[in-house]
Amino acid sequence: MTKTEHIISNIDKKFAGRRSFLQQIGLASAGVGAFLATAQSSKAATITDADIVQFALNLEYLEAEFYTVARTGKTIDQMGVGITGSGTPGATTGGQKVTFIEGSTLALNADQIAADERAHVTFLRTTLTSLGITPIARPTINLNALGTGFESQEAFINLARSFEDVGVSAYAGAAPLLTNPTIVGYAARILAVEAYHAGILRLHAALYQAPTKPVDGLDQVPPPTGTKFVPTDANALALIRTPGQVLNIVYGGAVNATAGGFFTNGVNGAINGSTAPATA
Amino acid sequence: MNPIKRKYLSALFFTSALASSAIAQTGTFTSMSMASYGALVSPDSIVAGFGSNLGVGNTAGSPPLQTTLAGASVTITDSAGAKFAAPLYLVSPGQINYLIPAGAAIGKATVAVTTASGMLPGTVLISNIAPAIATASADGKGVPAAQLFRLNAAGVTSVQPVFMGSTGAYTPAPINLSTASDQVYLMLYGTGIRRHSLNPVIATLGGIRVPVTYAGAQSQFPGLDQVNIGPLPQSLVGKGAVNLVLTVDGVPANTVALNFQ
Repeated sequence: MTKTEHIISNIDKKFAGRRSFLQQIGLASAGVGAFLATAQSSKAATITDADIVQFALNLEYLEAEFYTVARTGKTIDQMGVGITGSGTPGATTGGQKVTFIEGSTLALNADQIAADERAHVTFLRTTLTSLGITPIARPTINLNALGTGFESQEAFINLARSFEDVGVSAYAGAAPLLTNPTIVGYAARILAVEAYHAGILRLHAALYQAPTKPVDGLDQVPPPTGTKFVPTDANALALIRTPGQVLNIVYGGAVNATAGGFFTNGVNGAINGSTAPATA
Repeated sequence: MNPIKRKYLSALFFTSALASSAIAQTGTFTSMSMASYGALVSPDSIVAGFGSNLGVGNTAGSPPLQTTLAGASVTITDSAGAKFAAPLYLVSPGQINYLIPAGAAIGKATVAVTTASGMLPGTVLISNIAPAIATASADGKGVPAAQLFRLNAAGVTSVQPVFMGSTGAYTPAPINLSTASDQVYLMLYGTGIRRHSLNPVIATLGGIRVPVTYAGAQSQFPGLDQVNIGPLPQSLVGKGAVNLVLTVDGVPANTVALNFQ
């Protein structure tokens, strides 16, 4: 158990004892709810901005590897991107260069998105280093986790769309947890770029009539499978996922897990445990 | 349909076994677009498949196409696991031209060719659109196997090919747009185009945007698509050799060459 998990576990145990006490003296459940909120805040307070950036770096490693392999057949370290750092380093396996119609808007966008994701990796590593923190190493990544994504343009669109929409929701979900205005600004700008990527891929899903598969109960897939070109809540705000819900997806749907799916040995950093999947 | 036009279009596809069979790899059946020789094809498009010992002599089919021709058949198992018997245009020793059935799911499909010599496996990448323009040389390059439709001020029409020369040496025939009162249209043929969205099909000639008045199925031959471009603008007069770039839903077809005098 990590130090963070230990602290959270203790908070939860204290809360459980407090609840019993409150129930004994007959206080309304609203009071319990208020304490729960406090406990959750305490839980969140143990997570630093750096932890969140490190968490994001795991996802950027995954995205960068996916696009880079799909377009070039090479991994990001073979393209000169730094991958060393703290935690458990690993190799990227699986995947292959996808057969595209070269010159198509899909292929051109895939090239640009691949470059963007590699730049995100480098930028987050540089940001962490500037804060005096060693960036996490690239964890072990299995691009064949789902057994699809590389066999056709449409399979590529399906997986890419999933990564981008999950990425947008991950940054949007993490935003309220950040405290450093500079980091918030960087995160907002990366979120915007991920949303551009998602929009492009969702439109291509519709144009290519590429079926897409929802990653959880929250997901809103684009046409032709779904109907919404832009996934939003009732207020037309971006969908959000907690880090645990994001990890549930990239761990292949595993609940309360610290490894699985694309991250065979888990992600690096303090935020590493999945929860139940997000729901609508 | 005009018999001359029918014969012209038929020749595009039934004689194309003359295209290179060097693509064939031992023990596999390699499928690609009949018009561009690109790796991606689409449902309801014409495909050229290359292998060895596929048949004896050239046997051409005509609409309605049959799924067995000269003892050969092609079975496609799409990405959803559905099996289709492909309608056949041509069977020759090194090449089979066939139609991807309209109902085939997009994604990577497997292909099994059954002939008197046995079974030959392969794969084919099926995308929703895979625009390809047929060329005179039947290799996806150079001058298109297209026609020019001209309507003059007196209401007289004429149709002529945009290429000249003979097999192996086709060049773009000079296109004369000097009579401003003539309305001149380019009629391209190809495949993999008809499933485009309602977004406009984009065509440029030498970088000049030209109107696309039709892009869809050609009614006579299964899988054959037609694109009508025009009226061609006077601004093309004197441009000489230009490239035609056709883009369908963001996907470019093979670039072909024309010549405006």
